Amino acid sequence: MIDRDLAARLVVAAHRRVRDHREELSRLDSVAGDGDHGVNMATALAEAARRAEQGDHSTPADVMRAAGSAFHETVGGAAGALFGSFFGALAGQLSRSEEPDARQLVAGLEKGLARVARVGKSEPGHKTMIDALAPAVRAARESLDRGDDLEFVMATAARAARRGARATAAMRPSAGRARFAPDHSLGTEDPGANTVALVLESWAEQLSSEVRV
Amino acid sequence: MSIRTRRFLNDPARAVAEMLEGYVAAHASIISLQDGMVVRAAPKAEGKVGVVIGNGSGHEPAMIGWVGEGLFDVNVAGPIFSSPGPAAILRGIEAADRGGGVLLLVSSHAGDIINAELAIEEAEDEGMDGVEMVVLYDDVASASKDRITERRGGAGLFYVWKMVGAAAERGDSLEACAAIARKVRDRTRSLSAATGTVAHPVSGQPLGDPDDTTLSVGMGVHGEPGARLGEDVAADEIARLMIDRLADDADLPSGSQVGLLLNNAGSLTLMELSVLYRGARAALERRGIEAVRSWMGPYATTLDMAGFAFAICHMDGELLDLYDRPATGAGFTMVGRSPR
Repeated sequence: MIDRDLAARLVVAAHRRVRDHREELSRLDSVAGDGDHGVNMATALAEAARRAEQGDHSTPADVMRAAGSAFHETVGGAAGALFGSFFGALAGQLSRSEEPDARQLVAGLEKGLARVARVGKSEPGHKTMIDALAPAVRAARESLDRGDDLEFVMATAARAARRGARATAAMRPSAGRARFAPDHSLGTEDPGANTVALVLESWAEQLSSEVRV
Repeated sequence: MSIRTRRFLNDPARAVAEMLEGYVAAHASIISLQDGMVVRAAPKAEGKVGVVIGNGSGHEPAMIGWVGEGLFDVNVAGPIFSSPGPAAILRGIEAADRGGGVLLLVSSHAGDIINAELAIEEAEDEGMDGVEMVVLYDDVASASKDRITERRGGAGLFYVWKMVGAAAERGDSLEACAAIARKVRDRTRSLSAATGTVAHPVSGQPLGDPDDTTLSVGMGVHGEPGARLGEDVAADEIARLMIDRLADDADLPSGSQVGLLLNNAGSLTLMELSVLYRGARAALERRGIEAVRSWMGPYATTLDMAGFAFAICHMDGELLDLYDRPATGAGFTMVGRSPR
């Protein structure tokens, strides 16, 4: 079961993880972008974490919706819009249940993926966050259908996201700013895909630490 | 070769907010700050079309210097090189609404388009009618002509802002203003060139390879790389190469009349600009094309990039009339001419 407090802890965990990797994310972004991805994502997640901890949210959906708004309001850019849309779609799905569990979370990840693909008009192979998110969502769905619990589902998703992010190094970009110099970023992983992997890894770790206590 | 990493700022994370405060205070007769947005000090008359744009910062005077009579009603400045988010753009749309509809102009970059589309969706969800958006592009280096809608926005959008601003001020309808935006876009081409790169003020990361001193043609306004031209190329040669490419792309026949823009991307000297301008005029004359209007200076910069862009806009009577109408922005003014 995902309650309001757990949702808040997930947002806080995502912020810590991305903040600790922000220089690395900015460095990846500087190869074909403008070198501020890490700073922007850490800024947005800091605001999301602040809202999660301080806001009077009564449901996990409220927490995720506030996180989405934090992206839309604090950083902008393509990444801000897309991550904001992801959290917004996830919140929409979570709000459909009084007590969301692994099934709602996986359905929420699927909604998030669909929203990001629609808003960003991108597909797998374009060297974007989709290349980490799509395999992660697929792996989460398969894990859930095998009957795995929430912790295991998220760990499976996180591993798939990381593999997906690594695979972007061999891709030529066909979306966003990087597409104007398609060979320039060859050999470098996509920063947005890395952020997806970091967020899902932080969620997997948070869930596994909660099971142990 | 080193790039300048030391800047006269306080906390870099506060640089955009502090820039807006200072810039608006220095031009209080033209603009003011409202909810973090640059708005006209004296709002446009009721019933006219409001014109708004959201864009990343770091390109000044674009677009904070382009708010004023005959130009934009509202500019929503985002973080450095990042479009503002949908919530901020929506507030901009609401602030620009004078009862005649609102035209949201968008320079074609992934983040600008995505956030503008989300803002328009939210405006519709709130029941706002009469909000239109036009996506604008002009940079011939960014996509081939058969994929022209995939091109990105560059310095040539100068002409769109100027002429749409004049049309809205004149009292043209929302539909007419949007049509002007598309017409000017379709008749405008730009191409940029630069040497070296610049450092991002917040992250400190260079936008390109800091050791590369070759001249490149076709960079983007955020330092996206271009095609390398070489180390030692004369200004006349670069100007001719660029003007030929623009005129070819626009299929301009001999006898055409154009506006010629030379945009300083940041740190070029007036000496270099003037020499380049001279070369461009010669290149146009060689093709029998007349530069009937010219503008030279910093319009859309990339911080202190050592680069420039040429843009040409194929003029006709309608566009010349709009171009010549008065405009008063903190970073761009047009005294105006009497009708020809």
